[in-house]
Amino acid sequence: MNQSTNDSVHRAEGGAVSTASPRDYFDLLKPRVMTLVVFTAFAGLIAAPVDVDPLLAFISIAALAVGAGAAGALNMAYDADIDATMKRTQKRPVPRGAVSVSDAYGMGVVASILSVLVMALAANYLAAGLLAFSIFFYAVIYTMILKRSTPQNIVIGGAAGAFPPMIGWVVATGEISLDAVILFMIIFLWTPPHSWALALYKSGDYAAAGVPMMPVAKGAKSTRLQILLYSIVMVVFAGAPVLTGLGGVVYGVTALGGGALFMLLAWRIFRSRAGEAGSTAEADLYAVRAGDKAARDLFAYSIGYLAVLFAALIAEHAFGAYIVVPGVSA
Amino acid sequence: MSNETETPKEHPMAADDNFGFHHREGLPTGEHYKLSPEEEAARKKRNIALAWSLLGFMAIVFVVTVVRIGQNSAGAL
Repeated sequence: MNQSTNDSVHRAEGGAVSTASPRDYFDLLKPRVMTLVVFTAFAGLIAAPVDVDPLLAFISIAALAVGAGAAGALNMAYDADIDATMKRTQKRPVPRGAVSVSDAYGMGVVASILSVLVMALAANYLAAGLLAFSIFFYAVIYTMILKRSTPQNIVIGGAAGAFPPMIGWVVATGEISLDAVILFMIIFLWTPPHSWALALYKSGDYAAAGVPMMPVAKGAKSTRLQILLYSIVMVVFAGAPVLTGLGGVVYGVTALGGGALFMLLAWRIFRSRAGEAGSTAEADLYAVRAGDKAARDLFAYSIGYLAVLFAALIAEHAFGAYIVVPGVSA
Repeated sequence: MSNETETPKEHPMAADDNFGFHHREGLPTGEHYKLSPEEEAARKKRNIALAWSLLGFMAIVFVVTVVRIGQNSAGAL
């Protein structure tokens, strides 16, 4: 009888108990995505024409953040296999082995239920219903169905990320109005150029993982054209809040200036050879590398663009910067 | 055709996963798993984080209840 049996002690090889830290579980919630979710939701809430109890507003936004994080945890649990093959996602807690798939699912489901419950208590049933639907849409429709089956994955799936400002609006007003739909549509139209810019310079990773992102399924040239077309539609649509009176002069100038730079970067991608791997000729390599830089630039800028656009709305509605655009009734 | 008969395989983690109980019979196996210092420290941190999360959830429900009661009382006056 060996020593371990004598002592009624048995240690499993490699350890059977997790050494995951709370930070690993927090990382499951995709904190950086949560930041943008909170920001855009706050903009929707502030821009709404109804005052809401600050404490309940804070709790509602927190519930929304947790709900978005829960959807992220479910996404990481389901996508652990492809995350492990892609450089960008290899260090996530599940592929790194810090958190098990079942723990990630467990956390995602529990956090989803609690966030929807708190939203129903602190805000209203419509906001809670929209939060539940957005979690379902991201985790099931996008992650489990669309992502691996169609190059339109992020076009349709982008709706999940577009819900936060609408939910923020509904938290305050209890209803979905035209302005709430406009805020939703801005993010919905922003998602394809933003995601495809990333997919262009990471197309090798996506191809290796078998994810049919647009550059993988339709090629780099078609993707560059679609980035340009979606950018035009998005930049024009971003002016819609000015027409309804939701956005004032500050928002209008921001949308105009920010949109012009967005178009410039989208045009640079369109004219480049971003995402064209395969050629080994030296001149081609430089051209592709320069194109990939253009794609990186648009990806990084698009995040700042969206943040500044919604910051303009916050400045106008929370800090008294609203000036009516001449010829538009506020 | 092979004449080899396959013997049912015991689950490799059967004893370990069930913390000292047989995984099918539910009988004590006499085996125990002793946590390493790292595992123990990590478990303690997770427990503390979980406790704070639960306290936070309780506080949120309490605050929402108080604010809602206040709003309803004000509305009834």
